[in-house]
Amino acid sequence: MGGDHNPVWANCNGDVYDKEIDETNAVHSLEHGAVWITYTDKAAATDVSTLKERVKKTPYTLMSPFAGQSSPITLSAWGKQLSVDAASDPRVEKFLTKYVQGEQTPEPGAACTGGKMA
Amino acid sequence: MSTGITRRTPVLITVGIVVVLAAALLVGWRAVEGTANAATPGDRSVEAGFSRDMAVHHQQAVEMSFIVRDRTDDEAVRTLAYDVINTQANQRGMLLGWLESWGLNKTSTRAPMTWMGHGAMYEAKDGSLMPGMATNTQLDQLRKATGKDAEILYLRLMTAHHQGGIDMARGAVKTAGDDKLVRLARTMVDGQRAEIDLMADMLAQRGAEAGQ
Repeated sequence: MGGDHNPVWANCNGDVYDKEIDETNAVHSLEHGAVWITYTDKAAATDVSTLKERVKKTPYTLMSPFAGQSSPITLSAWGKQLSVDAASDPRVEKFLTKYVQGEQTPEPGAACTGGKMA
Repeated sequence: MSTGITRRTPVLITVGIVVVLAAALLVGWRAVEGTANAATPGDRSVEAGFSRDMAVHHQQAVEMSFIVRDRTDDEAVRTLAYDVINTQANQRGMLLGWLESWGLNKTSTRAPMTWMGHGAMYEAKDGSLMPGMATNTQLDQLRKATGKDAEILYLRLMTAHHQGGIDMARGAVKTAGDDKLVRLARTMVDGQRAEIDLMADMLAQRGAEAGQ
């Protein structure tokens, strides 16, 4: 994922947003090394709550609904993306482990606080 | 006689295999050890010079950003400064951590920028030790300025600071051999270049530009 750059990042310190957020703010969060989990109404409610709990205890992640994607659940890091049908897919944990503040990070050291709350 | 040779042959072959294996192990171990040594930069290496100098360079960017956050309420400038503080303070920690893990001192008697080669020598003046660094006089001006004046001065000083930093990081990308250091230096080039563009927009919004 890439896209328009916004000077303000969406806070990504384990932040869960219940409404859609501005994509350009989230892209800036990816630059700071965050993984952004997005979902549609096709995702199972239990999967969404499982992932919300995971995000809440994981700095450098954020989560929000995103109606415009084809897959029920998508994980995005800078230049990396994973689409899955269920939260239990083992690739979810692998993706988080590898890309939360991973080597793909364009701005290592940048913060997930002090940005925009929604 | 031929019987004797036949009987001894398996023993010789066994001894031969043992010797070859031992030699292979020794060569392999030496190679691994050699690689480990080659991967630990020395006191006069590009890696050490860049880590030391960029740690100093970054620290001034952190300091300038703290100052401007006290001098203006403007949200955009304060957010940019917040970003610079976290990013450059953390990157400085990475650089100092590497020096520590390499068993090297954080400072050296060699002049700053020596690792960049002759063309890069810089004459220190009034606290400006490396290209792009602000002088003490300029920092004092920033400490006294308020509102839009402080914002414009900060954006100009940080643009020059980034330009100097990018040149240094480019030098490391070109000549350093340590992969993780080259990767970090490359993110400095790209990240600070993007911030220079952002700061040019912010200066324009305030009716100013980077040059005086």
